[in-house]
Amino acid sequence: MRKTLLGRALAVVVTLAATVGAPTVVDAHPLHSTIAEVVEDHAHGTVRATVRVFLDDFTTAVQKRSRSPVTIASGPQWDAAALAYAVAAFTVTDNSGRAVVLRTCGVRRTSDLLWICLESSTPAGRTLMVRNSFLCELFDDQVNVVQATVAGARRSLLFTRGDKAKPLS
Amino acid sequence: MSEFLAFLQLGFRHIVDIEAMDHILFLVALAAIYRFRDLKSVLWVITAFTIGHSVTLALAVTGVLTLPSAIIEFLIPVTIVATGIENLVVRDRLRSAGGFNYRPMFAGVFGLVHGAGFANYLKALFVEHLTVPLFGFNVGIELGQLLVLSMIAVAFAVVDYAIQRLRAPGASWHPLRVRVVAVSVLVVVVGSAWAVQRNPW
Repeated sequence: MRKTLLGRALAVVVTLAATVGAPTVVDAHPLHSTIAEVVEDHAHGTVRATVRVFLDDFTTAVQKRSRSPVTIASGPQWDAAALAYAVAAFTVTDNSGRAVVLRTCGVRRTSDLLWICLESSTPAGRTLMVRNSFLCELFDDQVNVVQATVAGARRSLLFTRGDKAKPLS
Repeated sequence: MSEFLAFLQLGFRHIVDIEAMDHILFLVALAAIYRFRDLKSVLWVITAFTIGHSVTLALAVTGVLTLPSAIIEFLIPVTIVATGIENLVVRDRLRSAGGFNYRPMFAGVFGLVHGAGFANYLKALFVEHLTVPLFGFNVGIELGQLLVLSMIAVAFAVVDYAIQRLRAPGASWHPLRVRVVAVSVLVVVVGSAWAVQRNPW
């Protein structure tokens, strides 16, 4: 009786593990996250965002959106596709819902990471709203951190898939 | 929201996620030998694991230690397999390995490996203002682990109850041993498959 029960239990466990558990998770557990610094400068009427994103994931997202196999080595074609993705995924609006048009202020690469700079002039006296959906279409567990500095005060915002715009201050 | 809370949430979500299965499986392996009344022992083991992975995380993020990702990703399932095998082989921990409870040390050393697992990602992302994000992320990881452990404890209680019901009156085998063997075999099989798949050589 003892051997039978133990044997059956072990057989069930091994079968379950071998057929269900083992093949389903192969990859390590990556951190699906971007970090963005946003600075709103009231004195100069500007807002500047720098988004840090891993190049491999960003390339996948840009290729998916542009439906072309562009890579960072593709030159102007990549620049256009990458900017189109960035301004679609990272949006700034004023409190009346009007979009603030962002333009590129450069891209820099450090190892596997891209630093994408976006900026715009801002309407005076309006509270800005920000939304960061970078890579949310690729990963269920994507979490984007936005660290905002407005008039010297810092606050942090988190964005996951489906999140709407949140006020910067 | 403060910066601390933002990174706490990032750490918490990172662990309480089905894709964190390797980390969760290690917690399952660590917890497999304990019962509710062993809470103090579990807390010692988890604290040691926490200290271990906090140390490597801090060293890697601050640039003191550079870790090859492929090796670390391979070593993580190895720690899972080793813990499962230890569960199966050692039946009386106070009488083995010099007569002291080495389990927390074991968890601490393996924690070093697990901390290295996400250190490379954080090292790239956390460029400045390291202290608050790193501390918040670690606290989030710990809270996530506590939640996962609570769920594991409930699952084990259900398994124990089922085993107890199946046990014939007067049977010589102990229900806890059946749970330890079943869980550890599962852990060893899955962990071994991952180790093979992540083999860097």
